[in-house]
Amino acid sequence: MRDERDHPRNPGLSVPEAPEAVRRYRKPPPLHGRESHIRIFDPENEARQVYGETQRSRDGSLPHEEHGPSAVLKALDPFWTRGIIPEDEANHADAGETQA
Amino acid sequence: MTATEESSAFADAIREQLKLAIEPQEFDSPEFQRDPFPLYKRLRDHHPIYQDLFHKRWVVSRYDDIVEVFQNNDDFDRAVYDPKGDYEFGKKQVFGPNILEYGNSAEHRFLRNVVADQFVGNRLAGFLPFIEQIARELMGKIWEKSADDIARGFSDTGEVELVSEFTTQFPIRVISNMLGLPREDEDTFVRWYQHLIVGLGFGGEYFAKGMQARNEMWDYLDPLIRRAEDSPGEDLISRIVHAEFRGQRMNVDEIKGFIALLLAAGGDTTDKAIANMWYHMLYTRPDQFENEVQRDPSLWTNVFTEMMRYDPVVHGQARHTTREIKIHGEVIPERAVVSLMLGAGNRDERVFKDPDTYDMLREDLHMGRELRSGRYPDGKHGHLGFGMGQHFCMGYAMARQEAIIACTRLAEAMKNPRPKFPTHEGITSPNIGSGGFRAPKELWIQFDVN
Repeated sequence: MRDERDHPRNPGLSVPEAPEAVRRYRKPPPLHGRESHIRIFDPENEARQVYGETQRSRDGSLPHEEHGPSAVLKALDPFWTRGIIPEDEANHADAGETQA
Repeated sequence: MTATEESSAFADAIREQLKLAIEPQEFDSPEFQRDPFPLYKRLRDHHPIYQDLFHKRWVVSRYDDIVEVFQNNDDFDRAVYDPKGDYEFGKKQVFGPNILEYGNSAEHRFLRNVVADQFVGNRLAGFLPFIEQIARELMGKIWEKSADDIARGFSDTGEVELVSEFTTQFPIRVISNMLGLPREDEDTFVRWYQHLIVGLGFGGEYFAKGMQARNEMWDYLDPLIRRAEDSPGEDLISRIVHAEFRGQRMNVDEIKGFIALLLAAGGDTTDKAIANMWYHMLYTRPDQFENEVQRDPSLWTNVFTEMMRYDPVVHGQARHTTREIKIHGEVIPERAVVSLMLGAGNRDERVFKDPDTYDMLREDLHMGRELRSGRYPDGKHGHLGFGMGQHFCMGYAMARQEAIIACTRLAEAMKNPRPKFPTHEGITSPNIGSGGFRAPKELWIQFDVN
């Protein structure tokens, strides 16, 4: 998380008003009251299910493939099929949330 | 189950998975540019968070998730920003140093507060007669009639190609006139902004052309900014030059960068919005055009709002994670690019009934003026076309007013408007010419001649 006081233009602008300028953004409650699917990842207490330590990148770079593996290899590799919601589940999972 | 049956079931399972899997290259295909909505649906239903290894990004496509990212400034930043490294503001963008590069910082809030109130409320209302005048002048130019004649519906050619003859001309003339730029140079501004937009979306020679246009524009603006400093008028440049927030003003480079951004963002998007509105009225819902809008022109506001939901000009925005974030069970690394597919969120069946139908009378969409918070007193959902939160489109009110004024006056000037051709290739994007925004390439309209 960056500190806004480090911004090249901020010294002199924000420092005198530090309490207000650096106040944390207060996250509003979700719109329409539906469940949120976004949260901060807790590496201490959660298994890293998606990308392993070898793919983890703190400098912003991500694994890059020019052309991607073949479709068959993808299908056989759980990395490519993880997280896909099956057709029948997708059709029913959120039916109750539709607003007329 | 025999070994053969087991093997066959396994193969079937693989085939089913393959149908749902997404190739990153699909985002670059001509099919996606013409009709992105089938892929959007697969994303929403089967990959609500999708890691696109080819474009190095994570794609978010459901309405609620997009809204939450927009509203979460702590975890998702607008700009690429390295607090420990050097970042050369203005070096990598055709616009020069501008408000968007400052991400979610206090600097962004400062720059936005300096100029935001110029585009809403009473200050915008003061410009409305002026916008009307430009619309009528342009229509007069097209049909070689006086503005008064056009207002009475007189015209004598019987057809018009709306994109080249009106929509690409109108918003840029409005914004350049608001800025107080000389009217005789308007054609030059149109050329500059077209090069800026293409330079923004594409690299190589297009970026070089964009930078050349930017440099020409900056040289041109220098004396105008100095004049506005010494003897301010009522024009927008004077207001921007003298606008203060907490005792500070923009510096000269920031003013130039902002004007370049304003010409391009304020011109190109509204231009395409007007073309899209007419496209939907002529080809998507001619029944609603004839039965509703032609009888009650105040419904152009609904036409605008539903267009911004159904197929907005801008389909994507990017954010950057400031720490590791978990969405739908997938962990996104720190400082990764997150692509918010606004066009996909707008068609989310979890939010809008019958989302693939254009219906300007739909009851589940907030039809009035947009709010930055996305929270409406009527409890309805808003479209995502202007974004939301800290980076909500600053020109939203002006774009809406301009588009509605232009469409209303065009409808008055053309008697019985109808498509010249029975079929149309449709709204498309991105291509080199459009800079990535969605719009019809051309739109021929015929009308009765008095």
